[in-house]
Amino acid sequence: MKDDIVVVIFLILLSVVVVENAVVINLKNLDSENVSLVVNAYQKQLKVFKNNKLVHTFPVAVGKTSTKSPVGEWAIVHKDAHWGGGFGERWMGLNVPWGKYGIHGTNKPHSIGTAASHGCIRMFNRDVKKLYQWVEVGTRVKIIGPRDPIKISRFLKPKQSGQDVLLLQEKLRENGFNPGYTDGMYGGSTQEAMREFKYIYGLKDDLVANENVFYILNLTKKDG
Amino acid sequence: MGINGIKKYLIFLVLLIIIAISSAGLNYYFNYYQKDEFIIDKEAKIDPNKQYNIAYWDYPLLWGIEGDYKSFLEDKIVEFQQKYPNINISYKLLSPIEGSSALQTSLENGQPPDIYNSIWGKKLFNSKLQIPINLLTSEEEVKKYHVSASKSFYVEGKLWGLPQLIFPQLWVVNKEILEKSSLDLDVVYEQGWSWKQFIKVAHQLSNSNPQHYIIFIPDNEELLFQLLAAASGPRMISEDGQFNSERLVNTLQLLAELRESNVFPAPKEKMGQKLLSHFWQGKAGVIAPVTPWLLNSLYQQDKRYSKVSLTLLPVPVNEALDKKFLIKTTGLILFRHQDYQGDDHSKAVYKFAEFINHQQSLYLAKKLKVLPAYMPCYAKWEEEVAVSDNIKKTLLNYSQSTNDSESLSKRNSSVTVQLKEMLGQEYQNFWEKELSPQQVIDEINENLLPNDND
Repeated sequence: MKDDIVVVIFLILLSVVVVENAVVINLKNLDSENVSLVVNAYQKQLKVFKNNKLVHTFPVAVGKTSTKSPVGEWAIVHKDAHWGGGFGERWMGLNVPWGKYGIHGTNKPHSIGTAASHGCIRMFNRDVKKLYQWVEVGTRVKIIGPRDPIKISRFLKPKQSGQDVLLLQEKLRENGFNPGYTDGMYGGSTQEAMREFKYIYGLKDDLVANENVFYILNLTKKDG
Repeated sequence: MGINGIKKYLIFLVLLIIIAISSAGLNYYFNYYQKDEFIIDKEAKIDPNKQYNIAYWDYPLLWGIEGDYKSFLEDKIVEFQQKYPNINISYKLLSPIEGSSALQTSLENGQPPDIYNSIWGKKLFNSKLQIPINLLTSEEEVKKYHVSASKSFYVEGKLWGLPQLIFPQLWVVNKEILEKSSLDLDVVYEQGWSWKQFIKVAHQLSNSNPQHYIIFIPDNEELLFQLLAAASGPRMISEDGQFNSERLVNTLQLLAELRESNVFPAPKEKMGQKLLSHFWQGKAGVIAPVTPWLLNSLYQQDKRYSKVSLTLLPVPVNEALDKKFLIKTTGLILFRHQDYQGDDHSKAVYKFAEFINHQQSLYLAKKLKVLPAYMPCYAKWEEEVAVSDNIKKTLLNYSQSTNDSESLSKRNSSVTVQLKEMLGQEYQNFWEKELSPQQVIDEINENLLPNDND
């Protein structure tokens, strides 16, 4: 009887090892096509999706309360394999219009799992090396997490960028329009969404997010 | 009978056969090839062993309104297919801006969708490829739709769509401000009001408080079309395609009279930008035009601004007019391909169109807070629509209406399309360049091309 139990436990352990290795082998071969990343600043995790299926989760450090990671839908716009600068291995820069943010390794591994950075996403060096191979310039990175209230102090127009534009994009999406990625840039998709918005609400077709737009979207403009 | 007699008999017989064959041939030719009119065999049936593929085009209609229209459609398609598993439905939600041109292109290619939701109110797109509904349904069935709604879909004796929604033509009013005028709002709710009354009220408002205004959106020509529908006179394009300016003259004179006075905030050509801020700050007594989506947004905002008492009034009408409440109707349009797929296919299309139309009539009327055109769902709508009793009563007044608000022409001729475009542009010029009514009329008379009888 005892022997049977030992055999069963052995088989279970063996199968776990086999499956784990299979996953590792699979991930080593993960090509960058249709890969997307989601950083959850609440959980301090970076999740890797391939064809919308979760394939791996890494622990990360995110921005401190005073320097939160930028919440939004970004893209990797720069990759640097030789980046170091005393911070850690690899650099994958994001297209955040109001600052320099990215995903990188760290020489402070104890900070992983906490809110410790200036807004960047820190990873263990061994993890960032893996991730670096799986992504390419253009890979989408969504960051969810806490955010400071955004103040709108201007009318918003095409080609502008900023957190206020990102808030406008979020509100347009909430209301059934498609502004593209919520990346804080008033580009083509956002312009198209605004054109549809003005048409649906019977307003002047000038693509300016003005007071009428703010009232409809429940956005409060604070002069400043 | 001699040989000559037999010959004569044979000749007579041959002639008879030739006549019979040619008459049958001509009969067949005229019946099936030369017939202009499209017909559907009433006896045709959906073949349960055949697969039908039906394309349905719609719009994501719940902009800014709670609800998932896509899920609603998908659930209803599943429900339909449980009963008709051989009728496959593929649907597409169009962009509100690109949708009309996408339909136009598909018609030009001879491959329109089987069903199209004409939410912007157009009734007749193409008399060759559009299927008249009366070929597919009975008089009894048509009677289940609101009489004005179905009336609005009739052109030259044919019903060109399945009526779905009735949009009451309304202006939004701050009751607090309007009550300061001599206008009896309760009477207006019940009986409508005239242009004269409206002008008087507008003057009273600005005279009593220079900070109280009327705001019209100068960039939205829908207001012009509402007033044209409320004007007296014949339709602007006659059956033979001639332009009649009587309605337009009346309407522009009304607008010019208002423009010359102080009833609008300055600068008048930009007053639309202040539409919502002035309304919620208690400065605007009347705002117009208001799309159903803007109206829904106002309903939602109403809870946040306690000092404004939002109410709805009918579009005022010309004194010479006996109609009091104007409506606009929308519905589902059915098409066939250039390469006709058969009467059984058309029957399958109608089966789904009828099903989804009944479902949408209630669902969308509740969501958009307008009236359903399908009468059997009225009781449920009254019970479930989430508006105040006062607004529900106002909307229900419109259910008694027997007037649709089409003022141009029912036919979608090129001259109608052209006039509509010109009116839109000239309406904006009227405000921006301060054109006089006569200048607008001259501009139209000069540039409107004669009817091409299409």
